[in-house]
Amino acid sequence: MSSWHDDPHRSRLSKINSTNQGRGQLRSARLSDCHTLNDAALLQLVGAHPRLTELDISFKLVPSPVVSTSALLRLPPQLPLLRRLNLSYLEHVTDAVVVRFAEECNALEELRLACCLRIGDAALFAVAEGLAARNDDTRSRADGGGASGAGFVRGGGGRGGGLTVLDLHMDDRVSDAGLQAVARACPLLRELDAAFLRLLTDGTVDVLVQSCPG
Amino acid sequence: MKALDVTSCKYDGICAPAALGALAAACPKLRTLHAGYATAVTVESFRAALPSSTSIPHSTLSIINSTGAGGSAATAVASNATAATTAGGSFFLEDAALAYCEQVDDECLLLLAAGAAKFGRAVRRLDVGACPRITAAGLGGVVAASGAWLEALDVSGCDRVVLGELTAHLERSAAQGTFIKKSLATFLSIVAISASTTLLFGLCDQCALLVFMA
Repeated sequence: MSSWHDDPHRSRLSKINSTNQGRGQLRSARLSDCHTLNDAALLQLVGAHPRLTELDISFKLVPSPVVSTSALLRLPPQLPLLRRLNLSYLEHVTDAVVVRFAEECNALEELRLACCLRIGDAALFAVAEGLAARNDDTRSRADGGGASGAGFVRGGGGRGGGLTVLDLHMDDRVSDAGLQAVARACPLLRELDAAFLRLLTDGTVDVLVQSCPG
Repeated sequence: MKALDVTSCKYDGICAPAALGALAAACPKLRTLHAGYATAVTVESFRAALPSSTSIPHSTLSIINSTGAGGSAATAVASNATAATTAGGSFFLEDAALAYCEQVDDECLLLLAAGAAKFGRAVRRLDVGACPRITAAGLGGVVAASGAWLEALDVSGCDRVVLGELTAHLERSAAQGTFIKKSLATFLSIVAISASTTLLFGLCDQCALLVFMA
C-alpha cells in the first residue's frame, strides 16, 4: 500500500503549496478566441494560478500571432499540474514550445495543436520521449517494483503516457516517424486528429491500430 | 434537484424571468445550471430567481474599483444590481454555464456572485463563452466575490473582455488569498505563543507554590 507521499502528483502539489501559498485556485481557464490575449496577460494569469489543470488559449479558423514563442516557452515550468492544453491556431507554437511542455508538464492527457504549422516530428519525438519514461514506470509498477515500492494509482502525475487526446489537424510537417513514435509510446491514445497530414502513409495507420487499441 | 442542463433546448422561453423564478422556487437546492444558447436569459431572470435581498457587497465594489480596470463601469452596473430583487427563498448557483446567451451581461454576473455570497458560498464554475455583453468589470465582480473558490472560468469568444483587465482581477484575488492566509497564520501563531506562555507561567506558579509549601 502506498503512502500519501509516494504519489508524485501529491508531492508536486506539496511543492506548489510550499512555494505558492495561497495563490489562486483557478483550475480551468478557457480563453479561446480571445483577441485581447497577449503575452503579459497570459503570463500574469499563469503566474497567479499555478494549479491550472486546463488551459485553452486557442483560436478558430484563422491563425493568430497574439502570443509569442518566448511567452509560450515560459509557461510550462509554471504549470506542473496541467492536464489539458489547447494551443490550436497559435502561429508561434514551435517544436521548442511543444518540447518544453512535454518535458515540464508530465500530467498532460490532452494536447490540441491544430493548425500549428511550425511543428514537426521533433515535437512528437519529445512527447513520445516523455511518455516512454512513464511506460517504464508503469511496467515496474505492474511487476510490483518501483522506487516507492507499490503500485499507486496515477493521479495525473505520471510521465506523459496518460496522453489520451492528440489533435494535429493540418500540421502538415508531421510525418510517419513522429506519429509512429507517439503511437508506440501512448497506448492510451483514444482520440487523434490527423486530418490534412499529407505526409502520412498507411504504415502509420497500421502502427496506430496495433499500438493504441483504445 | 441539484443540477439541470438545458443547453441548446429549442424552447425560446427557457430561463426567461418567469421560468427561472418558478424553477428557483421549485428547486431551491439547484446549484448547477447549464443553459447555453438560452436567449431568454436576462438580468430579470436572475432577479426573479435570486432571494429578494440579494445585493452586491461593498467589498466587491471596492476591489473592482481599486484595480482601476473598468471601475466606473463596474460601479454603474453594481448600483443597478444592488436594486432589490423580487423573489424569496434560498436559491443560488455555484456552477453556471451561460455560453452564447446574448443578453447575459455584467449585472447578471454580479447578481449571481452576490446570490452565492449571501449564503456564504461562491460561484465555482462559470462559463460565459461568447456572451457579447460581458466585460472584465463584471467578471472582476465574480472573481472578487468568489476569491479562491473560483475553479473554472470560460470566457472564450467574449469580444468585450479585455484579458489584461481580467487577469489583473485574478491576480489581485490570488494575492488577497495569500494575505488572508498569512494573516490567519500570524494570528494563530500569536494565539499559540500566548497559550504556551500562559501555560508556562501557570506551571511556574504551581512549582513555586509546591516549593513554598515544602
